[in-house]
Amino acid sequence: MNAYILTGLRSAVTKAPKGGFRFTRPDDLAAEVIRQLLAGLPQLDPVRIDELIVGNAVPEAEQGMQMGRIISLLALPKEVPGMVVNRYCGSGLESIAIAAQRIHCGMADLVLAGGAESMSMVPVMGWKTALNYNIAQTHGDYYTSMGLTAEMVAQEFGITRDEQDAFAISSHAKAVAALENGRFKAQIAPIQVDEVYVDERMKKQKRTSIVDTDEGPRRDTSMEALAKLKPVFCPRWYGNRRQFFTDIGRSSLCPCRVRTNGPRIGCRTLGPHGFVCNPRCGAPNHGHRTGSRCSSGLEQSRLANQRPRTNRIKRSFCRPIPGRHPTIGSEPRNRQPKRWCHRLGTSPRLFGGQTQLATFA
Amino acid sequence: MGFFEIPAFLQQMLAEGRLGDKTKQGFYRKTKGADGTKTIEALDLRTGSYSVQSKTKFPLLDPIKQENDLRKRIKALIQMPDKGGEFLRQTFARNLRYASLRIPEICEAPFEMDEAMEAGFGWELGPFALWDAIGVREMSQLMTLYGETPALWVTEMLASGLDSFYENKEGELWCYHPGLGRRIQVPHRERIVDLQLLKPTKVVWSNSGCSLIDLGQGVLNFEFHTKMNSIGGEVIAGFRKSVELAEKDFAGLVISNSSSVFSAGANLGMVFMLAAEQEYDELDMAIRAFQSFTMLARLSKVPVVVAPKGLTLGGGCELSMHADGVQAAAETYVGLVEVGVGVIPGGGGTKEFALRLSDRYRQGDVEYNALSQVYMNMATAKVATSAMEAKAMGIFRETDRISLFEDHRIAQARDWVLEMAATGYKPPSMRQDIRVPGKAGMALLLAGVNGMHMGRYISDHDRLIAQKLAYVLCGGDLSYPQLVSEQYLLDLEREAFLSLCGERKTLERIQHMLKTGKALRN
Repeated sequence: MNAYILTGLRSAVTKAPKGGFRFTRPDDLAAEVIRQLLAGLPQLDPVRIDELIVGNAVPEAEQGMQMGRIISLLALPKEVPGMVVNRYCGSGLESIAIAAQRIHCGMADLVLAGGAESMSMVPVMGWKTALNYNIAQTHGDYYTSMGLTAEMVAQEFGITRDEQDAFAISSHAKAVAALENGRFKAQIAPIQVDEVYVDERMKKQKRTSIVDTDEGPRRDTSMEALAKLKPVFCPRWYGNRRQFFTDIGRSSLCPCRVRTNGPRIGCRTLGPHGFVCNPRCGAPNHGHRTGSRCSSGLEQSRLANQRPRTNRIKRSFCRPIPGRHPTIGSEPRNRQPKRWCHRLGTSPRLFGGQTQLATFA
Repeated sequence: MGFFEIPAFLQQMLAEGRLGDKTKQGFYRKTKGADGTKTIEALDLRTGSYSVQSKTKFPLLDPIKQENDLRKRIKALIQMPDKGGEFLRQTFARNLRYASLRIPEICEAPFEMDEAMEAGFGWELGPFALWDAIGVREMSQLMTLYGETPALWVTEMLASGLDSFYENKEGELWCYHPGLGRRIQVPHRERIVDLQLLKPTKVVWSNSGCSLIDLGQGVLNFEFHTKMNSIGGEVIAGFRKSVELAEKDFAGLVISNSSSVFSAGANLGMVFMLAAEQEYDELDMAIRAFQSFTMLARLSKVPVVVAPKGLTLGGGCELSMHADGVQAAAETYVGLVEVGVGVIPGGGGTKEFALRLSDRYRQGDVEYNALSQVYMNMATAKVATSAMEAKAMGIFRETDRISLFEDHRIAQARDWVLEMAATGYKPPSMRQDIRVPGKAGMALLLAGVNGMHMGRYISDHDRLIAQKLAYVLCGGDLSYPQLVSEQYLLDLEREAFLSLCGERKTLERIQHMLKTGKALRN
């Protein structure tokens, strides 16, 4: 069976903890994106959707209660089941991979998949961080944070601070250019945010705004400005600040639909979804994905006579400079301005993976 | 001709445009060498040109600087036979004469001016208190010699047979009133308890390290007076004696002193000696003794209120945490700083935090957030910079009290002891019900320590100390949260403390502190 991506849509990405979506629940946000997505596909009866798969990295509190089902109740007919997938940084991407697998093996015809996250509402390690004593005692590196992992990767591959800063500058420039040329308009669902608040005179007030623009890219950055920033995770290694997840946040959902050769929907597809495999992990620290290429996937796809997808979507935290190591990271193909998601760079929760999938044609 | 005639050299400087920083030269001039080094040159007032500063030496000053008591120090300074002493004599002669001439112009009595200078200008002793310390007769004679005769009323006072402005009558402060021609009791001091005034007549018991002073109304004050008010054998023994006496015949005990260093902690010198000699049995006894000392503040049958001000570190902080109440000056710098000398708080401080965390816990709470905050404060030797901050850090309880006027704190502490005694004070017993998280809590703290070590924020030795601290604070590597006794935790503290005293790097840290007064991060 072939699986196809029909379309994709996302909310803007806003900053935690003070950005446009700081008090917007991720389930509500996802539901609204789905409604707008479906509104753009009037020929599709939503009851045909076999299931909703939602990626989320800290599925508790505002993101708890098995939010996949909650979102499907909010935005889809009651017949459509939902589930949550957690693969940390790779959650959204994994959701889409699972959707494709369902279709490839014939267990589903139409699946809505993507991710949602609020970093403003739920702390990075959850409300109760209950670690394993044995691991803490004997394999402390299993709990290495993403930031420290990035530092280690930078050190291992000799990526200097200057190189990182230069990469960041070019990243921001491309993102800003893309924003200014309206390149993201088609993929962003404008979301209305209603705010009820109390003013200085203790009078209840209401206001409404539309959030439709990504808050990350910086027009005002420069090598000098970046050089002044102190490394966040390790003062004596290379790292730079770029835009770490402390100031990245907010949620977005990027549902993609994956379709089969079955009953036609009547819309153009974005393209076949090929094989996705997770590269073998090298070092135990959880962000660090060195190691072998996705050889088994390529092998399988060759067997199935498909042209293997050359773009490996990078899921993990570290965004090394392209060309430095062949197995880490994806090359920004043709430097297309649309492929800015890796500028978000570091946070797993930025749906880089999903956005890339939704935007390649 | 007046008081403020400008000297010639200053006129010269004005004429030459040497006006200070804005003209880049004044009394001093900063120059930058070719290699970028900065030197500060000084203006030679005789030649009018700049030259590199020569360091002056006043060898007679060195022994005098060691004297902590200002009254003794000023007397010695005035008597220095060198030009430094001459400078001080002439300066004070003019200054004190000026002060005396302002009565009755700006106030009626010396104590008013002293209070103003002490409160408003930070003088430790006002002009007349200083004059008393130097010696009123001696200074007046000196002043006359310089042609700076004091005001008439001073001469009259001396002639009437009174040798000083102030008098300590049974702990009450009296002062000469020029208008009335006699001494009166200094008013508005009901809220002030001055231990120095009480000492001549009210000491009930003392040894070389501490004194027990009767504050009246049935309350005793335990005051230690050692170098940096560190707590060693004599203070510990003295406290035991004091509690004994208080329990027998008094309503309760206040612990306070008048120094700006309430206590710098346990006597490190003794710890170092025993540790260096590897006398671990003796060291174990010493730690037990210190733990009993702090526990006695808690377990005594009468209320104990500690009234700290200024630096209250390590063992001093632990003592405060064990008392029934703290009446702290707002300006109290308090914290557990033991990691700075390579150990963990071993006088009950770690145990006390575990106890407070346990008491905060409500069924269903996620206890790790409070645990990690408390742990971080201890692991980084954080010191609260005010009594308010100490409350936020959990070092002082919500029920502890803060005195904005630090001079009032001893009287307020005394009143609080009486209040407790009158409202059914029940002495606490050793707790058996402290809920500790065990392994689960340790996992979080250890992972944090690993991260800091990987990030090179802490050294290997820092990490070792932090690991031991995590162990004690969580009650050991228990499989699930359990209720343990106070003694169990005190034993864990002692074990960890002893173990760290066996580490060379800890000994280096202690030695560095003793020598330089600063912490070593090895």
